[in-house]
Amino acid sequence: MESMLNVSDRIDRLLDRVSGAVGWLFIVTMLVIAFDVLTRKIGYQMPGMGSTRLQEVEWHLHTALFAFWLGAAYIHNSHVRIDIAFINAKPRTIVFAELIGCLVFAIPYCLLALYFSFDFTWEAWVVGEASASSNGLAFRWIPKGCMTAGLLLLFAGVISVSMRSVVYLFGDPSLRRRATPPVIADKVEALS
Amino acid sequence: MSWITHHVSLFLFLVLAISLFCGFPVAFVLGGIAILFGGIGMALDIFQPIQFFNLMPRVWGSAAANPIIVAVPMFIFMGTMLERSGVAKDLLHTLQIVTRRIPGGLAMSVTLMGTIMAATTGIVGASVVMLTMIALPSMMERGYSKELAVGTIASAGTLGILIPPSIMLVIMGDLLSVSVGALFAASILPGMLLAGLYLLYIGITSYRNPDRAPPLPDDIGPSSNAELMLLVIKSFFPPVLLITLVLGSIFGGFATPTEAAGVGCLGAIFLAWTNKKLSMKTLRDVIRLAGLTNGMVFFIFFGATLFSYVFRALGGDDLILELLGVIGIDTGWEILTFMLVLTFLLGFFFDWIEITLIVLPVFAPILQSVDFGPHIGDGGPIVFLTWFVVMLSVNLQTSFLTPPFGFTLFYMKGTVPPSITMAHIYRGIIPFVLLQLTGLGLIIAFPQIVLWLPRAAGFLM
Repeated sequence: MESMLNVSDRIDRLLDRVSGAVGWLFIVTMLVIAFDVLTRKIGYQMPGMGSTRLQEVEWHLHTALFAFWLGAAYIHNSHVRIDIAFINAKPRTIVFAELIGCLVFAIPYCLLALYFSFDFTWEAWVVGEASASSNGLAFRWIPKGCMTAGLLLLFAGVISVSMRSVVYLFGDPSLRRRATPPVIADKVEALS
Repeated sequence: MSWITHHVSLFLFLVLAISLFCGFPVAFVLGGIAILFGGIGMALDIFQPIQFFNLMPRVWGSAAANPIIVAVPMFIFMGTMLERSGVAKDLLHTLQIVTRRIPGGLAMSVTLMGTIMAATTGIVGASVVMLTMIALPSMMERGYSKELAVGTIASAGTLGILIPPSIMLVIMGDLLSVSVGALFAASILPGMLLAGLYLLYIGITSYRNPDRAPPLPDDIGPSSNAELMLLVIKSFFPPVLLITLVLGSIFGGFATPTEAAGVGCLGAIFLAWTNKKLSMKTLRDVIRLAGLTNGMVFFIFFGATLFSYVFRALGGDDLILELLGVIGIDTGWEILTFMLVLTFLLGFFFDWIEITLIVLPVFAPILQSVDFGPHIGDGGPIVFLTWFVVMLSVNLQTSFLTPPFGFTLFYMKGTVPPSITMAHIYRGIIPFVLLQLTGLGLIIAFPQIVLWLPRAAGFLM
């Protein structure tokens, strides 16, 4: 049981580190946008850094930005929920529902999305897909690969939460505090 | 058997409705149920496993390889930065001092801040929580009536989904192929109309019952007019100027929403710096919060895309058309009424992201063909869609506020101190719901309120 928690902690740390680093792309994106606006307004475009290309860079960055935060948003309980039915439920019930949800909804969804996303990236790699525009970017497998990697991290996050829930529900009571799954983290904090 | 085959999409919706209330993240539930029904469809021989492949190209096309949608993370960052750097809080403080002689000045300041800071309030839950934390303590300290305080905060918090720069309008415009600039222009006057109605109500009720909204004591704030001017220059003009520039550059045709949002982010960072609040810690905080919100918004794309694809593959949209035919809904007004009632009910349970991404794709073909003729004037379907999106936004905003289910109220209950009960919240919000309905009625009856500005700015030619 404790080793499961160690794996969960490690996954969470990885997600935090990756999302934290990728988060700086917010700043990069706005700088690219500003640079694009500036060069277009003054009517001078640096060779190789035309507007078409810069705008593709913008949405490439955007793709990485949301993809790598999918998993982090799950382990920090940021995804929207409608918890009307469980508003006064005991933490144990909520964690049990979370575990069922992981098994029934999240794990199948992640596996399916990963399978087809990998296919999607692989195809882009094999055919050497590039922008439809002649002065756009090559290597479409990079942003597509970001989506696949993001889904992989999301899957890791789901596994982490599932294991925490298992330890919380069935593990040694002494581990319960450390196991606390994100969905009840706020409640536990409020009680203590 | 064939009856089941024909109606399987209906069961899909029913199972979704039930499962959602179990509190698991909506995007996962949407996706998981889509897989389940894809499996049932396979057993009934009306769905092929390879059709799941459509998930990735569709998410790719709508959420990733889409230059317009880049405006969404940028506006989220800009809003988070304005909030975290204390610009929003300082603005409220200044407004409250400027309006101190007016009855209900503090409540009015909250409404005004919700209008100006609409950028920070794109996500309803987050914005209501933020406004509650900033404004409620000072309203309680002043001795405001609990009802007036919570009503004002909840209504001001939802204004942000309508008033530009609203990320909801960016996503809706993209889905219905209406220019985002046109939608931004279209929603300004209705937004001001609603804010105006709120201010009027607050003013009248505070004038008639001064004990519901006691004025600010004179010893708070600057003592001389010169100091007051300085305060206004420091904390009122910069954010107002930033928002005006962002919107102005879009309306004037100088910049796309994405460009305006990107440059606006740099502007927000600059404001934080002049406010002496820009530190590595603030920047990290803002990146973290904006990243989480952004991840949440775009994950709905993943779940909803698969869901609406399976729904349609199983014949769901035909079933809806059939259903509309059976009820006899075919004229423009009937379709409009149906859509508004449907989304109003859905708004009790869903945030605008899910409604936009699930319902709009299903109804988009019907909406393209609706003809309202002289009521909205020339210009073809694009004019109707612009008017429709604004009505839909006001409608959703009303729904989010309506007791007993309006989910803004639940977010609010989670943030307020225990001395404020659900009954206070319900009583406080009812006048604002009535104001919302008045506003909605006005923009339905007088489409010019919506259409005048985008026409004048040349978006609807």
